[in-house]
Amino acid sequence: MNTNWTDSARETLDRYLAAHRAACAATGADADEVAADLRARVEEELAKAGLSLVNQTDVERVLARLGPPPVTPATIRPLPSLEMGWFGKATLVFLGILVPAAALLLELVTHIWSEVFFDPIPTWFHVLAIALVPAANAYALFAWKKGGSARLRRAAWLNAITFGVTSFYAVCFLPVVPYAAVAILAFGLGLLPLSPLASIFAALKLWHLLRLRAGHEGVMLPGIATGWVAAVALLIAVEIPGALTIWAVYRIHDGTTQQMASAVRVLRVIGSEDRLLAGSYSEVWRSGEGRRRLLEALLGASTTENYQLAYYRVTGRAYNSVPAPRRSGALNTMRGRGDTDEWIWDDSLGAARVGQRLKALYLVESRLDGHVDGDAALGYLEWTLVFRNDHQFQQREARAVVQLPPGAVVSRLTLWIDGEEREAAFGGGGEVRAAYQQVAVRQRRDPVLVTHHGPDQVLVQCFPIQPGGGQMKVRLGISVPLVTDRPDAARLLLPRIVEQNFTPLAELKHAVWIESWQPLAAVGLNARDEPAPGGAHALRAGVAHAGFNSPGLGVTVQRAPGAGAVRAVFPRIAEGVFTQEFHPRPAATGTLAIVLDGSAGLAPTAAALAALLEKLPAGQSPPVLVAGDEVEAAPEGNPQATAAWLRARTFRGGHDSGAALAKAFDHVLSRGGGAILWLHGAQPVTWLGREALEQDFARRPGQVKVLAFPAVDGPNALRDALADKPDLVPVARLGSLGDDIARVLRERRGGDPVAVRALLPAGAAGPTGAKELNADFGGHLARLWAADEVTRLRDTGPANRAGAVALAVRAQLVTPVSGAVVLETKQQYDAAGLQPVDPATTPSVPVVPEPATVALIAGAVALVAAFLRRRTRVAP
Amino acid sequence: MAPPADSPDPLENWTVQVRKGVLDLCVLNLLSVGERHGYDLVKQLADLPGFGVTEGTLYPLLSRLRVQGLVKTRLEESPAGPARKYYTLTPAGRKAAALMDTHLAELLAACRALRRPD
Repeated sequence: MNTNWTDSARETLDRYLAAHRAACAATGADADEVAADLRARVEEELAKAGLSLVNQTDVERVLARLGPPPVTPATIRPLPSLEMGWFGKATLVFLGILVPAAALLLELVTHIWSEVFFDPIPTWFHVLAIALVPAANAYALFAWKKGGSARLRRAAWLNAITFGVTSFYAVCFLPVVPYAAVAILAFGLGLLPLSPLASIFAALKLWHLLRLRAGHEGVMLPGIATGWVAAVALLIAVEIPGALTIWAVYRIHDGTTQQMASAVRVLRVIGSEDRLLAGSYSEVWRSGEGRRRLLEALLGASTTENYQLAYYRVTGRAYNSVPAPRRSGALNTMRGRGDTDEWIWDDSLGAARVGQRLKALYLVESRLDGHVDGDAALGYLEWTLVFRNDHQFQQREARAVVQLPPGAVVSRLTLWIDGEEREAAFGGGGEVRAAYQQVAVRQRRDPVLVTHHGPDQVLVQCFPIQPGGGQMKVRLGISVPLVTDRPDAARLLLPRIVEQNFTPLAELKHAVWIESWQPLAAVGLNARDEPAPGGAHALRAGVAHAGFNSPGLGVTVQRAPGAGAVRAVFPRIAEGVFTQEFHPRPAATGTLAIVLDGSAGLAPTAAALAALLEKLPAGQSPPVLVAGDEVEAAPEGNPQATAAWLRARTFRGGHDSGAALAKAFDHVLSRGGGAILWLHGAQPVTWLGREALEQDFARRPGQVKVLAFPAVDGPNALRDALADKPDLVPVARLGSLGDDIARVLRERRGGDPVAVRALLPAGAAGPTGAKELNADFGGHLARLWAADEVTRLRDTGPANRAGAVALAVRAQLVTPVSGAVVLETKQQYDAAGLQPVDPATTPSVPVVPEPATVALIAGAVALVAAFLRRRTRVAP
Repeated sequence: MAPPADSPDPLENWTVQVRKGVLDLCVLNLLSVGERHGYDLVKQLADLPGFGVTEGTLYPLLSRLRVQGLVKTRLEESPAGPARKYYTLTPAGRKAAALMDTHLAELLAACRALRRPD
């Protein structure tokens, strides 16, 4: 039946329901529900009455039965609803789960933000922290839906941690949020910076929902503060080593001496070696530019050189003595970043230093050919090196410092261009470097340069090695005086690489092939003498690179009893007779002091020194100074006490030997002069008293010799600074630390044979019984004399420098005043004012003839002899 | 001294408060027996001495209990008018009823104990 209502009846019911609605607001009831229930009851009552028209009175009658709206005590607070619409749920899923998950995935795949602003995931820890956000939000939604005391508590903890993670990243990305809002339109670039904000919103909403559910179930949840603080503290703690590193590096170069010392201590305890190494390479920092800039703005900025200094101070090693760092370790490997596509700014290109290690640049082949004459104590080596550049698009320069055998000199340089051998031009040191820089660095053509780098050291550099597997092949010819520390044998020490910017291939073997007419024996090589045709001897070995760099590696060659003086004529270098004879070394006079580098890696040297000192009688032990954070003096007078002190000392970090040398200099000078035995490692930088030390040697020349003993290979800036001083005497490493230190101490007593080379006037008889050398070894004798003479001329003052250069160029030698460069074209040589040497004048390693060749030559000689005999018989 | 003429009777005020206080428990106790619709509940409560509950009081109370999660509802079509809404207790409601019962018993016991001599 249809029922009609009068307007007043409807108004009456509406007023009643409105009053109930108002009352419901205070009681916590659902007003709509209550109104609907009451309306239903009124309609039900009126329907029962069977009215066709309902008027106001009818309604009032029913309403009177229902009663007025209740008055509920205000203390009863209703629990809010657990219901949530689909839109709210979808929003939570989108902002709390999908957005952070997508942002993490996008950054892992594209690493957009690590390139342009800030690397949000430098470690796996950061990846896990961000991955926790969508996972924890999903779990919170699940817990809210399903309830359960343990589940709700777990979800609340995770929610608090999530809130901490998201707020940390929100603050980090705050500076770019305005740009990100715009950039989100472009390839999703803004997704990452905005995702923390989205996740914060989701985390807060979920926090509210979890508490609602907990209220309904009477569960007490943990507060948000603990988890939040823990997450933020953990993320900040991860940044602390980096921040402290930045702070300490800044202090090391920009603080007082005390601040520098305290910063070094901090770095040694908690600094990150990896970060120091990364800071030493500018391009590695680029991946974390935003993070670094932020920290540097707060703590102080440093250059890559400052980091290189700090790396040495902390580790005691040169930063380029270890492979260059990857940008972010395993993460970048996963991202597909490799050594071959990482762009690197080579700040040492064309410079007179090795500089940073370059990735994807390899030494792929190495062969050493040589021949030696034991009686003459002379030899000649040719070292061929092949470099390969596997970088995808960058040209590379290979650079290496080569430690030559003691007293040796580079007398030939060859570069292969398009498969052809091109010989070098020799010129003044500055001249050849300028030509190299012009052609290599500016024109990017194919030169190679070899210059003097220090006592018995040369710097080899070649550029450009083309990307994509391009190779450069160079050859160094080295004239070598053999070591004559035994009466029955002479020793050839092999050259080795002591500093390089490339990586030797793991499988690289240095192919060594030495020949002689006298029997040979290997020293430190896995090889034995092999008889060669014609009565010659050969020694062949393949030496892995790690073993190849040990000092003392080489061969001994038999020396005839009584072998001594030799003579040769070699007019291309000078008219006259070149001679070499052996004189007993004069005993050293004066005081000896020992300076020991206190850096890490020198502990074995200290032990070897201690073993020698404790054998000395009391009172004969020289004073020992150790260059540590401060100069420390070992106890004097009692060798055993000195030895015990040395053994107990800790060798840590990297130190500057300058102050200790200066102190030893004063000590020796105050006792009338003498020598300092300086046992040093690699010291790539100087920061203490280098000028004062140079002044000492300049003002008191000839009074204190410094015997520079390289206990550990590597660059040494202090030794290089003193390299031009005649008082710096490099000590050759012939074997173990103990043997070599003992040898130096023994040599001071004098008496051991020392080669003395001279140029006598033409026609002079020379030393009695001097053996006449052939053209090959005679040439090397002349070159070694020339090298000695160049050094002597240089040491006698600037007036003789031009003469020294002229002699070095005429003798085709790399000396302290001259270098060698191979250019590509005649125009380049002409432009540089250089003249490449005539290939016919270069030294070479003679080839021992094959048996067939020997037979052929013998046959030819026999034929000629027979012909001459026949002519003699036929003649009247 | 007599109370002012316009002030409510203190006893009546007290009984109203008590009734309101225990009404929640009465509803929950009724529903603990089984499912009921609103009018049913009113009739049952109206039979209780001293209560005099009206539907105008009961429906807001039921709505609040539902919002609090103590009861849940379902609708069932009725041949004689609009669909009827049935109420049942939730586990939380059952637990709340038990707690309220205990609390009320403790209150009454404590209150009566005050009358006993020490």
